Amino acid sequence: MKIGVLLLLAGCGLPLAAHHSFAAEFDDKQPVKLDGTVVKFDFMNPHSWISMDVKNSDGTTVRWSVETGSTNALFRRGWRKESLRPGDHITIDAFRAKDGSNTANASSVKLPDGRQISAASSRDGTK
Amino acid sequence: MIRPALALLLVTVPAWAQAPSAAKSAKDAQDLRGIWQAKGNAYRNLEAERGVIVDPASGKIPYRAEARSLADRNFQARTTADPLLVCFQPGVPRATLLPEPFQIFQHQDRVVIVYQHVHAYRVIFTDGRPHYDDGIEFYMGDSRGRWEGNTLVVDATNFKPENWLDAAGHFHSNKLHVVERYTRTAPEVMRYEATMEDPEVFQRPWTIRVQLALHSEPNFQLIEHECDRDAQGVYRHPPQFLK
Amino acid sequence: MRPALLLIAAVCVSAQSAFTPPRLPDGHPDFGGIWMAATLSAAFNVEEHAASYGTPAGPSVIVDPPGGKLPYLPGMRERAVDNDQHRERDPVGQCHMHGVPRVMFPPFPLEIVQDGNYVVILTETEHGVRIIPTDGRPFLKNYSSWNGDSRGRWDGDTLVVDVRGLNGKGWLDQAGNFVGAGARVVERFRLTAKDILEYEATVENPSVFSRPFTVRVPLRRRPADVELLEYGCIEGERDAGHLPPVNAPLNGGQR
Repeated sequence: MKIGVLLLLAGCGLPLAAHHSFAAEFDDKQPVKLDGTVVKFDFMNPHSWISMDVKNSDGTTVRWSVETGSTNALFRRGWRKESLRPGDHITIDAFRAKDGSNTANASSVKLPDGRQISAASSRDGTK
Repeated sequence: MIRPALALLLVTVPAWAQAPSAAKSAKDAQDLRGIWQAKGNAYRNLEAERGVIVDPASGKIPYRAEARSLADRNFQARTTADPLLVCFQPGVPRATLLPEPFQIFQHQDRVVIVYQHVHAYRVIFTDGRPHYDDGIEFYMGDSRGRWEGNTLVVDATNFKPENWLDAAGHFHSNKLHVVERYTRTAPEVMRYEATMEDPEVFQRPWTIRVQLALHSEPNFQLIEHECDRDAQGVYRHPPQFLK
Repeated sequence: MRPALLLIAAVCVSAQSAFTPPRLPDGHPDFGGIWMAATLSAAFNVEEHAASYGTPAGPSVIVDPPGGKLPYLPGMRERAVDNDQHRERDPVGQCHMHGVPRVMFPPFPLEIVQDGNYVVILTETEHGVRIIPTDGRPFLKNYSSWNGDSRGRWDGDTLVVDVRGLNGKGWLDQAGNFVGAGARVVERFRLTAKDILEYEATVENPSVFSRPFTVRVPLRRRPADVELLEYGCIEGERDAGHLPPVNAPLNGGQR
């Protein structure tokens, strides 16, 4: 990804929710920080999904499913289907699903090269 | 080198285009507009329906060996595993072959095809702009077109790998590349050809050909074909659209 | 970016423009291109609203009645509020087309293509389609659909579209406002500047509202290099399993 393109797109401030309301599924009172390794990145609509293994402090590993914005919103922010590869180390700020599962809605993703970009969350509305 | 008689043919407006209100240029022969529908049953099984696969002459899809066994497994599971059953957009060329109409619009630098089936659509730019890079995939692919005489040649790439080519389980990978040729041979007839190339699945390119017929019934229009979830939460077609 | 949007919106609301639009060979204005709502908050709530949980603040886009509130009949606003408490019921979350007028102002682009006797509106959301004939043909009979059955005609440089056959199951916005079964919509499209397509929709439903109401959302032209991207929804939908079960039928507030 070209960093110039990424920064430009991140500043566009287009709201991103068209599929469903964040509030029905996720809880913005339950922020989580997920530090882990990509297992799979599904670049798709209506939401892309990052499957990742997160190490707990006790050494166990938990599999999380993290939802990001639509392909269309991400693509216009410079994401591509190869943007995340299995084995990439990423850190995600997200909000947990209300149903208590290891599912979350990402607000930002820190990439393997250290860059931090908006995950085009349906929470963001107009920026 | 083009012989003079052939050159004359290439610039002559076909007789069907000389309708009372038609303009007088060869451009009007490039009018594909209208509501069309495929004749025949190619949508069921491209290999089993005679005459659909015109190259190779065997009428068989030239699968790589391991791909043929996957096609056979798909065939065994076709009543449950077909993506179309769960309301996927049909892909190319399957969308053209379905027993359901589609409408072609043309304006300036684009041709738009709207398929009644789950209201899938394609915008085909004819201004020479390039395809997307391979970082994104679409169920209906990414289509760019150009005219060769009276034939619209459409180049489609960037396909998602999960789709089938018919109801028999013939399939492709995300390396699929389709070249379609649309030629209106009479006011209510169009010849449709599609050549499929996919180095991961097929040993060589292969081509199908079907006839499309114009819907000329008064006030004919596409109707909405939307899917909904059944009691198990699975997307299904509404009853009037089940075969 | 936002100040520019507000400025453009203000210009739209106040101007009775004498703008002369570019024309197609048939003499009608050329609406072709990629457009997107200039008032992006309308998708979240068509009435004036403060920012809240996952929703940006925004003005009312209701220009009639004055006051900018939906003229619900007694008991109907309670159903909208109930929808708002149960956003898992939003049919858009089930990949349904958005219905009219909601389909005209999601925060995603749409494309208008004019071809002779048809105006086609392609929406990125739900790969939705509206095919609007302008040849005076009759409406379909006994037709019930998400995006309606539309008939267009030209009134000078304004495209007027009559919409029937809406199934009443769609919401009007993400906040659960709705138009209900039997609603009829009349839309008006008019270019007020090179890059502004003014969109108005008057909704009438005597079983839900005490009188017709009109929303106005200017559409702003997207940069020339923007194309619609495919928006598959059903193929990749994975949220349903995490949402509360949808106990009520998917209808516009009517259970």
